[in-house]
Amino acid sequence: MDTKNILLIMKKEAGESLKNRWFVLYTICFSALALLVLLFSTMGGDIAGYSGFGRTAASLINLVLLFIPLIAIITGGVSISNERENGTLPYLLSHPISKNEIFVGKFLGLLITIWFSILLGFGLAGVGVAIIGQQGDISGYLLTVLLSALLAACFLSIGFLVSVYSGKASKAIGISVFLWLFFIILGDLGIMGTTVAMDLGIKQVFALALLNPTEVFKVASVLVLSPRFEILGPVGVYAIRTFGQQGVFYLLFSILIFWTLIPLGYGYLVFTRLRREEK
Amino acid sequence: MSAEMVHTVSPDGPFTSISLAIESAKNGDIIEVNSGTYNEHVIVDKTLNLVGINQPKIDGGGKGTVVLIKAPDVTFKGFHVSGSGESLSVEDTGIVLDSAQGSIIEDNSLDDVLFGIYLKKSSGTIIRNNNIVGKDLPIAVRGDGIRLWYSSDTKILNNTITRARDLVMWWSGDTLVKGNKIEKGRYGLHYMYSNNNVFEDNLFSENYVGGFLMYSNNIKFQNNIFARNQGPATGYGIGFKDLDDIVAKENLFVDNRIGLYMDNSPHSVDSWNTLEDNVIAFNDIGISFMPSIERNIIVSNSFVDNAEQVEVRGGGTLAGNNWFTNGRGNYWSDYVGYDENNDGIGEIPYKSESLFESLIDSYPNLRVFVFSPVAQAIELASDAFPVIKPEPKVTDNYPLMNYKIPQRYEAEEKGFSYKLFVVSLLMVLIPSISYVFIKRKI
Repeated sequence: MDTKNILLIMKKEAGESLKNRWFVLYTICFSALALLVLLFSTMGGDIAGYSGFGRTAASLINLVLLFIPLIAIITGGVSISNERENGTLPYLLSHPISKNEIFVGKFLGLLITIWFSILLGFGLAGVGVAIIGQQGDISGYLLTVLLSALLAACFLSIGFLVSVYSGKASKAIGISVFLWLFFIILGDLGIMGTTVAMDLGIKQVFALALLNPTEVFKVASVLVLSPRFEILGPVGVYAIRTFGQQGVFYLLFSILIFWTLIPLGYGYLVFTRLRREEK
Repeated sequence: MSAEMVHTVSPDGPFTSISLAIESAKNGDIIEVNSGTYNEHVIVDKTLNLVGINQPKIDGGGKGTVVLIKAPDVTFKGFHVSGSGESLSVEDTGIVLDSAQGSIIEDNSLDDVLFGIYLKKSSGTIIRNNNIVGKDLPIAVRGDGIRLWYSSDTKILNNTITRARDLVMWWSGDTLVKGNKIEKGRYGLHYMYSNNNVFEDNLFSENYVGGFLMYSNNIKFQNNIFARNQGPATGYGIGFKDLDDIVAKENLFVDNRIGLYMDNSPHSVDSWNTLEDNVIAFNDIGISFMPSIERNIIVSNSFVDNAEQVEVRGGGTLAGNNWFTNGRGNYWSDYVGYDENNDGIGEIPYKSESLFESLIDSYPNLRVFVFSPVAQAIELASDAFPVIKPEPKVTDNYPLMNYKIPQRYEAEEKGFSYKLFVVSLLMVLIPSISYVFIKRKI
């Protein structure tokens, strides 16, 4: 792999996406929503100097949880499938660039694009709130941004895996949306149902909940924003007693990184070994 | 008896120790203690007026109880009491009042003491303007800041207790507790078999539990703040167990794990508790009830942004309580109705009937899913298919449209946040500049 080629692909991908209207739309939506949530929570968010900034951010989490995985997984989903459908992938491959370089370059380019969108969204909302005058917990706010960036990386990499297997963009989008729904709602619903039906214990619920990257993101955000875990009930107390505050934190971050690396690595292996494009 | 005499104690005489001065004093005399450090254990066994000038220090040297008052009507004012022992079993204390009825303990500062001020059978005592800081020990081996034992008619006013265990009151009725600050302890207030007490203008913050009251009746709470009492595991702003005839008005319960916890209160069948005009805000759970609690009147309170407004442990409803009287209910920040005739009261009832909440009430392990989209999805589903809706925990037929925060609780305006602005601006600028850069390269 040649870093120069990777950088080239990365820049091409990022440049094209940044010019894309979708990117502009994502950013506008994201900053508008973030700003709205921050503002609405600020209005009633302060009594006798006790503020609910933690809760403000908690309501942001939900928004972030719906929005970021969706844009990330779809962006990833269409990345390669679209080029296949348009026939630009064989053209790209006819250049002296290897498949590995294309895959890595594309991933990095799109990742940067989404990270830009997240930074812009949170940043604009933060500027607005700062002007109105809310003294927020800045480290909590920054860690939330970092977690959002990791969450985006997770779902982008899942999207890439989908894309590697899809010949058409429409198919990739379909699969991506289903997976998104699965991670956001269906999976958790399944765990909740199982818990009720089989009367699962604290440990099982904890383990099952942490299989899901969105749930990991949420738990981590709660840890960042309010370091007491009682808000998550007995499971939260169990987590903090077993692993300690630092331990839970490292565990959650590693799960997010794991969810980024595994689908990406698998997608990479499949893509680089596929013979389809070289016919 | 002759007129009262003044005995002066100072490091260079006439008396060089307080104990010596007490020995030669008679009932009713005044003992003036000048500033300095006195390494002794003081026993006051006469009715004396002990006055410290410029906070003289009485140091127990880390052993036993530092000051023991065993006579009635003693005044003990303006001292710095320090260095008690660390034994919980013999209750090493800063100042003990044993059968010292009608005494006044005022303007003292106590630190490095296991127990702060301990009243045994000392009714009619006034404890005012004292500052008590406990020893820096693990919470399990700390002593109480102030402890009342069979001491009624007491006034506890404007004291500060930090890093102690509890403020304990046992068998001590008719007491006024006003203007105290109790922080970073275990139970701000810990309490049994004490009736007719009044609590006003106190602050209970950052304790494991703000207050826990048991087996008592006729208690008034007004204008107290219970803030950031967060456990671990407990974290009640205030908890009531078997408590009758409580009146709680205009208190603020904010940022606790559980704002109020009700266990079998009221206990007697002819007793009603009243919670009125309180603000219950930003708690994980606003009010938590044990099942089948009845006869609470909960009116005109503001429930603001609690993650769960009302919990019924183990599930069920709270229909036996009055959530509205005379056409007025409570303010609920999650109320989604409307007010057509502009009288400040919503036209459709507020119902706390969240399917997710009743699920986590019954299956506490599922609480790990709060703030997840799945929680919202479940609510949406139960709105769409009312057949799976749980019975409402609370039905408030006259929900208030606006919340009411007592004026003194209103926050001061927060100014422009410079730090947040710079950080956010950086976050906007990084991608913007990079974008320009990338665009130029292509």
